[in-house]
Amino acid sequence: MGWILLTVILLGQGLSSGVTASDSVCTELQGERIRWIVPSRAGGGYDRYSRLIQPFLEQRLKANIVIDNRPEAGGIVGAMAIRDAGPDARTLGVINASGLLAAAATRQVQVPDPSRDFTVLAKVVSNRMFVFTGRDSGFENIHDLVEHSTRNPVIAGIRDVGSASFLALPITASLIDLDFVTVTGYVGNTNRVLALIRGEIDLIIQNFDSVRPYVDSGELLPLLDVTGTGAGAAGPVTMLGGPSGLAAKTAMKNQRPVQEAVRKAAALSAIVSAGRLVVAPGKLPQPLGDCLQAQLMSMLTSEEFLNAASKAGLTIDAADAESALSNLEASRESLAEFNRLVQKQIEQVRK
Amino acid sequence: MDSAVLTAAYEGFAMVFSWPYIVYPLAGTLLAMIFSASPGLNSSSLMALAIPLTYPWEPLPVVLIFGAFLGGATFMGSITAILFNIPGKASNSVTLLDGYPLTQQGKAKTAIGAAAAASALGSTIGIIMLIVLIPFMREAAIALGPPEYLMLAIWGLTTLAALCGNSMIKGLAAAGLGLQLAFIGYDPRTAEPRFAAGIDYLGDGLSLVPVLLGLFALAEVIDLIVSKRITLSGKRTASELHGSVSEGIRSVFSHFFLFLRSSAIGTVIGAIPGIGSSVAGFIAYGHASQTARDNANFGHGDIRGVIAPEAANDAKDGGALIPTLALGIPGGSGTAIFLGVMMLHGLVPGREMLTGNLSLVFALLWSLFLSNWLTSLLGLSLVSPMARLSTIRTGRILPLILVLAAVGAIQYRGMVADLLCAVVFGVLGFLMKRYGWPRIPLVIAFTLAPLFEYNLHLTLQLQELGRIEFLSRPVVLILLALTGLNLALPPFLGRLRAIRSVSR
Amino acid sequence: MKPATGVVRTAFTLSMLLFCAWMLVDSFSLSRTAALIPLAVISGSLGLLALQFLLDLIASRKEAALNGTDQDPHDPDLATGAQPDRRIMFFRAVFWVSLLAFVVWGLGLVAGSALFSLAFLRGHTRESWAYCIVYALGLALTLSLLFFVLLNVPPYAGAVFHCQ
Repeated sequence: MGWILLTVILLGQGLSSGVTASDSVCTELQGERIRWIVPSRAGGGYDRYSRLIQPFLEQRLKANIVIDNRPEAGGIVGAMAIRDAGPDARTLGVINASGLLAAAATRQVQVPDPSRDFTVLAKVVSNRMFVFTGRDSGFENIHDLVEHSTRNPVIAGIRDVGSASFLALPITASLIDLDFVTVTGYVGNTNRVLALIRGEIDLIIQNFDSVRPYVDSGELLPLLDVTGTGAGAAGPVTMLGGPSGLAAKTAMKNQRPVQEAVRKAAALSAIVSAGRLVVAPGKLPQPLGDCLQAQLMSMLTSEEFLNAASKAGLTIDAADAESALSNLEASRESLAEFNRLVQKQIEQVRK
Repeated sequence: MDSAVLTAAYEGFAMVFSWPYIVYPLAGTLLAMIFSASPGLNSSSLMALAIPLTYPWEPLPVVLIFGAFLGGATFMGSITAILFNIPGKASNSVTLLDGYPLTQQGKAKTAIGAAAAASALGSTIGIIMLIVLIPFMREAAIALGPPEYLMLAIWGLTTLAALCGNSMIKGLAAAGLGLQLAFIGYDPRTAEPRFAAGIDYLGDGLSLVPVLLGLFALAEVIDLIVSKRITLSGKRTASELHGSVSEGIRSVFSHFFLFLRSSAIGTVIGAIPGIGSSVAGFIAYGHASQTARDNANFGHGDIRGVIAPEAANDAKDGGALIPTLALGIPGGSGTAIFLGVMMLHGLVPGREMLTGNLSLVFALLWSLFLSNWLTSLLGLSLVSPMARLSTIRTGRILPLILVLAAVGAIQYRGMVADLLCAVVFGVLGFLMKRYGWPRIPLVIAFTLAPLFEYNLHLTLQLQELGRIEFLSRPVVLILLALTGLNLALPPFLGRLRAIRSVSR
Repeated sequence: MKPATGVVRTAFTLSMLLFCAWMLVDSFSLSRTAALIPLAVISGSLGLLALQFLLDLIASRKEAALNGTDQDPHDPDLATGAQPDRRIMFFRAVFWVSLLAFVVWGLGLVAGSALFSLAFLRGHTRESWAYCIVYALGLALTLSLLFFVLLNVPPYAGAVFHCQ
């Protein structure tokens, strides 16, 4: 490709990824062209992860990976393209498992099932959902926000009914007694962030990695860690779950069963953290699937890859296929529990 | 202007125009030109491919080459739009409305010359506006919200009245049809599938590129076959072609005020994140036709219909960098990738970058400036051989046009169903042309519909919740006044002219 | 007997009217939020299209009364006397455009484009076999170089090859 030539011409700077090839390669894929479907636009979160993985995996598989962005319908079209491809590992990709679960629960259309329609190969990162406010909102912490909502409902900006934030918002609010109203129709992270900066809305509930640059630049303030780990957040952030989390404290204050609140917070965390999974179409032959799973896990946990990810500002929280699948099942069970709450919220938007 | 800004501008200039750094914008421009000349591919694909290759680079070369990618891709797609009615990418689609009719009149050189000049000068205006706004860039980036976006859409839609041709009823109905076609797909709030008739492909709505390729390129192919036209331009030899590049360049200066207004429109719309890249061009086109004294020739080969969208299209690159540099919020897909690359190299956009790294910001702007001019100049050198294509027998050129249209339709989103969609719209476009239904209002309404619908919903909700006061926002009031003028002025002036001619 | 231009013109307006009517009916199945703006727009369009349909009908009648036929006197085909030929050419053009879509869908961008151009040049333009083959091969080579070598972007491979 002309690019290689250009790179050489450009002051002799060669690509030096430093990746060492694994001893065992998936021989069937050597020299093959693999289409890697990304359910977001070029430059989006999933795209950045995919392009980080691409050169490392290419070296390990000795294959040519070509990235194909299919962002339509909040990633559902991309997921459908992977699902509908032949089970020969010539089509792989990333899916937003929590997004698909949320869409299945809230949309009126058939959405691919993350565990049943795909061969899960590995989890790259768990989603870490946070409640954010704008720098100039006047809210210093989550308590300010909850306190304010006792006088006036706070305004939350979300994309649409099918999104993971739409699912997380009423559940989180019910656990911390937050009175809120939603403004729906902010398509794209950037529009929600801008709305927050402009002060049109009070909060967004969002995956931390998707808005990390705005947290780093100080435009957004994380108020509540919905998924509970707290890792990577700027400064100490209140956690929703756990025995000392805000859900438990709120339950205690209002004389509700604390264990129930902790359990619900954990269930919510399971749903929204289902994460970004590397998948192949369903019914992939087992030897090929096993080989890909092994190669991916070895790559995702290698020092070279983790260093590159850290340099790119991307969090990696890899898990093998088995663990990702059991997490998905837990998410699915938890989702059923919140069905009534979510349906009520849908009705409010659709009127 | 602040002396720190001037110093940074000089330092940025010195960085770009020094050896070996000058190689980066030059190489970036050439690559961007190759990519953008292929229908269905754009600078975003190129940038995405380049990301892993630039991992080990220092920040300056990265900023320079990506700046060139951003700037070098805009103009080339206009050449296929003008010559074959096939836009290189969505943002070039407006140029075909008058560019292709000029080719049919044997004036392809004039159209390409005007497009090149408007493009290079428009980008310069966009960059100048960006530089002027540097001290208050954050404020500029957050000054506009849903009410202003809504008013921009309404302003654009009011220009449709001027594009209705002979029948106002047909024109307005075509515009209504354009809006309706844009409603197909998920509702932006409730995620309900609307008007998809159970077809998966329609679930996410119709995409602009296949619709345009059908309505214009394939409809034209059908027309060429039906009318048995000998060549695209109607001329058999290059010597019979009219017009020249210099005539095209001169036309930009003879319509300089229109060019300036269009550039300003492009810069403002470029700064709005997440709206389609073609919106700026369509609004500028509508504005040009509405403010023209004699707009009967729009859509039939009016050079102003080339100048306005080209100027807006290139000026929007400067505008798109306003939220990108001030807040780290990308204005479009190109700037989104650029942002990711900057962060990969430890450059965090925002206040710190605009103070601590201002010379690097200027290096980016110079690279953008250089690539825009270089693309136009190199593009001009291709005009004569390209214009000759319009003298080839249609029977021989048609397979090439059809294949280019197929490539454009399929590669745009990687969906073969888009080609089928283009064929359906091709037949519709031909019938519309045949029975006197104007296609331009349909396309403009289709393009502006999401901007209109999304922001109408948001504005209504925010107004209801008391978060905004629609009529107390200065930009809304200005846009309301402009809309009022748009609607009232042309009939008033027409009346005045009629009275004058009668009294004479 | 072929339908006259006035009738086709009116039928075209009617088809758009019916499309609008279908959208109107479909919008009643949506929630209030999702239907709000479409309903307003569709109602307007429907009114305009109904008016245009009426105007077309009146014009057709007038033309029929004036000429003893319902030919459109402004029809450019009448001036050239080429109307029947044009109708055949229209269906021929639609056939070629549809064939392109079909061949590309089946064989992919590179092979499909080459085969289509060969068929078009031979079947429509009546070029010599040698010209057609060189043109088709040249096109296939250019597309292959563009996608596989220069851009490294995979073109659509075609349903037959089952690579998509």
